[in-house]
Amino acid sequence: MNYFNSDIREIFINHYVIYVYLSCFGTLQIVSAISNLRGIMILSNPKSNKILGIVFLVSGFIFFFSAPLFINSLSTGSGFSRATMENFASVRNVNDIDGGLHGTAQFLLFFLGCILSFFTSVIISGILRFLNKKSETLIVGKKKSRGIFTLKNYNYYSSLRLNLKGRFLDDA
Amino acid sequence: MMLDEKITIFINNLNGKNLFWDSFFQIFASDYLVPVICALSIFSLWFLVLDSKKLLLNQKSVFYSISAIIVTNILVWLVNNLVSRPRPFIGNSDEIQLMFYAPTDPSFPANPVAIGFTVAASIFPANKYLGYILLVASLIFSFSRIYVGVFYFIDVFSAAILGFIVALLVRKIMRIKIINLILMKQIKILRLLALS
Repeated sequence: MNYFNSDIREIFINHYVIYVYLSCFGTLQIVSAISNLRGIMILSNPKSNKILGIVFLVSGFIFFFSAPLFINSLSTGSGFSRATMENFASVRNVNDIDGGLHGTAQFLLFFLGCILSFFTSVIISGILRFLNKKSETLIVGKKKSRGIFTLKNYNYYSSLRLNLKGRFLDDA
Repeated sequence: MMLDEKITIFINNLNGKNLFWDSFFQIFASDYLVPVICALSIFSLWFLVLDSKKLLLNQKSVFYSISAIIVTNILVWLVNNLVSRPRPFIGNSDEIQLMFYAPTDPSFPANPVAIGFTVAASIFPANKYLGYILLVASLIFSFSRIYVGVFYFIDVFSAAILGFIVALLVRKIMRIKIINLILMKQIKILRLLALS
């Protein structure tokens, strides 16, 4: 059986990727707001950012489990149809041999969702900061924070430079 | 009939009476809810930066939980092959009403439930709040798996104990000097990338 030939599996993969991407993005925004990691925050206000994160997180879950009500996802044998309120909860319960996702596929797609959501946060945050002209100038050695802590004051690109330069200075 | 079967049949026979609870437990029993909640908790723990000491504990716990998941999977697979207990909808087909897809692997112990409790126990020392959330989610997950008819009570109970034990053992093993050293090296590399 060709893994990607199954129509049900294809729908599952698409919906699952959207689901984990939205949830990961939301989680990252909530956590970055709690930790005040401004380098990956979309909104400058932590409270608003947390709310934005919750919206994305919840919408990910709602999308995945309620999508069969609005999108043709229920296999009818000859094709796909929309689920009803009576059976929508069971649409996502598909065995991995019948078109569902097995553990490894779930793990890999979740990992993909994590990476995509991280880079989306980094890119959007960087662009918004650039547009707002609030981007900090990078002064190596001025700030003593290292690693992920640099994201509290700098965007990811600057943090990366700061950490790499700091490392090379240490080695010298 | 054993007590385990009696409890399983009692819980399973609650289904089919109320559409809301049927839908609720069908969603909770899904392969895509609690496992994703567990994964999101691990993901969030990595970026939970409050102070440097807490950060190190959080990120070590992420490594502990990932390692514990791997060990749990291997152990469950081994026990599955050794015991090979049929699912309740096969073993007690007259009394059990299946509300889920029919899994083909053995019933004892419940793999997804073991993973849920493993992650909950691994995360708990680092973040009690997340630990409690996962613990409650895993408990509802366990109940819903019996409710929909794919596991016996003893399958989920033993899986929960297995999950806890593996999490504790992995935490102890990962503290061995050489393993801890390797772990710290990985964290230092990620620090260069502003990720730890």
